[in-house]
Amino acid sequence: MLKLDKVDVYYGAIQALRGVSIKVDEGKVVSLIGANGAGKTTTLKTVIGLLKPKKGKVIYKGENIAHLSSHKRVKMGISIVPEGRRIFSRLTVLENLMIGAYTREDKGIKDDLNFVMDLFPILRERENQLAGTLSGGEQQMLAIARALMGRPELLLMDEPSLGLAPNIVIEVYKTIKEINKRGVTILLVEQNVNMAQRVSSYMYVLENGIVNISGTPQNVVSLDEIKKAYLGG
Amino acid sequence: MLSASYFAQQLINGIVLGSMYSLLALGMTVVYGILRLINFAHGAFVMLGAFFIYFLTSLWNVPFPLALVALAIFGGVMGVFYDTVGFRKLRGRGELPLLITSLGIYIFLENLAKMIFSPQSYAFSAPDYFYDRISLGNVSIANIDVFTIASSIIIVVAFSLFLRKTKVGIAMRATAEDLEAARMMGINIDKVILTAFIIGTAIAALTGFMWGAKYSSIQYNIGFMIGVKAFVAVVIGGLGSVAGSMLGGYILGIAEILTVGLLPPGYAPYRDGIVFTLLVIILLTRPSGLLGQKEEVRI
Repeated sequence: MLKLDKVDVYYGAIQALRGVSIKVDEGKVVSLIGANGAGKTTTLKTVIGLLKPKKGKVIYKGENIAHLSSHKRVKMGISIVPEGRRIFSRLTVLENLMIGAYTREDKGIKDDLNFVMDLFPILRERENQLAGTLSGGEQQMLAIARALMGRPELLLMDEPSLGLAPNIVIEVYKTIKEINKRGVTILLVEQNVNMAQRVSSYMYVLENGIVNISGTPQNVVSLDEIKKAYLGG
Repeated sequence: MLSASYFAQQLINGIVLGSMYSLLALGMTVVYGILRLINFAHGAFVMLGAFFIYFLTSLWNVPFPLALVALAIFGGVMGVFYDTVGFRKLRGRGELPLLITSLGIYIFLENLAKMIFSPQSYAFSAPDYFYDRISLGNVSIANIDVFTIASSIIIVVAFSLFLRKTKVGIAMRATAEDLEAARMMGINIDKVILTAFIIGTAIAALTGFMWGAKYSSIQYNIGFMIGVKAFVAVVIGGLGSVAGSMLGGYILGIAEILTVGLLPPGYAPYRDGIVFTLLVIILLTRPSGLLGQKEEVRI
């Protein structure tokens, strides 16, 4: 479904990704792990179109989308749950959800609105409240629901567990499984390797903009260097 | 010496001037909200709008209502040019290049107007019925004043509804809050920015008519002080706040007219100085303006 082929990305003169190649098969959850500054968010920004690669291809459903603008990519079925949630705090919960469906013109928006509100009943209760008044966990739910409103085929999730209480993290990961069960392919970025390995079918490890290690979660987490770096020995 | 009716008359004049400032502040605050651009060229569109309708009605005798529609369209087209020529290539380059560009475009347009229209002032007049007066007891109000006050209220209400109720309006608010997140959600921000410029310049052009009709004279350089004062209104009200820019516009207009009308005659030439003193006092006591939110520091 998604393939990055030897992608180089720069911030001005600084190279952030060096020949990154990853593959996400349809219907799977694939995760990208790595330390702060390794290039995880950069990779997602390159997929959604905020950053354009200097070299390499971003192939989505067989088409190189590396030079398309973000709004075209969202329309093609890619949605994102950004790092730090990035909900629009001065818009109501409902308005945030409608922004998620911005590129759509089909008639299914209302049904999807009902669907995400069934998935997260708290959003229905708060639908006319300003999104900035929600708690951190609720904001994460809103960010996920907003992305789902785009009816994505490929969902990008950037550290969905960041800054949340442990019980909320478990809740979020239940939802990720649930969304994947409904046929949405997920590319997950995480520092929380422990949670990521439970939902993923394949993992890539990013270090200083380079993918050095990849494999099934069992294989990756059994490596000593991964244990040391991410799982506390 | 100061009768109630004199005071009421001055108050009406203040509200009329405030209405015009509010309309301009609205256009400026919308563009500022999204691009963080202090739009120095805004006043130039008031001047160009005034000349446009002057030539349509006084020289070519285009019927007035039609001329007004043409003026709004002319304003919108100016907005398209302004954005595509001035700012499309500057996306993501920071705020300073935007500011310098708008200042440069203002100077260019003012000089262009000076070249084409000459530095002389032109006698501007709206159709006669705009100068008929409605009397309310001891006070009377000209139709043009009613027109200006009513238009500003209608435009601001319509714009607020646009921001709350329409898809593009909601996207505009989202873009103003977090431009990058808006892009990630699939909002075509170039379209949103273009829409903001079109709305802003169309309103500015219409204000040009109101200005000319109220003060009966237009000149190539009227845009500068108008633009600066509209910006003062935006700052007083709170940058990026639509309701704030309205409030700022009215406060500024009323304060300016009452300064001239109530102080001894010798003080009238200091009206601009007094207006800017007011700005300084308000900013010292409320740095984010009257209705402004604290700007989040973005790293």
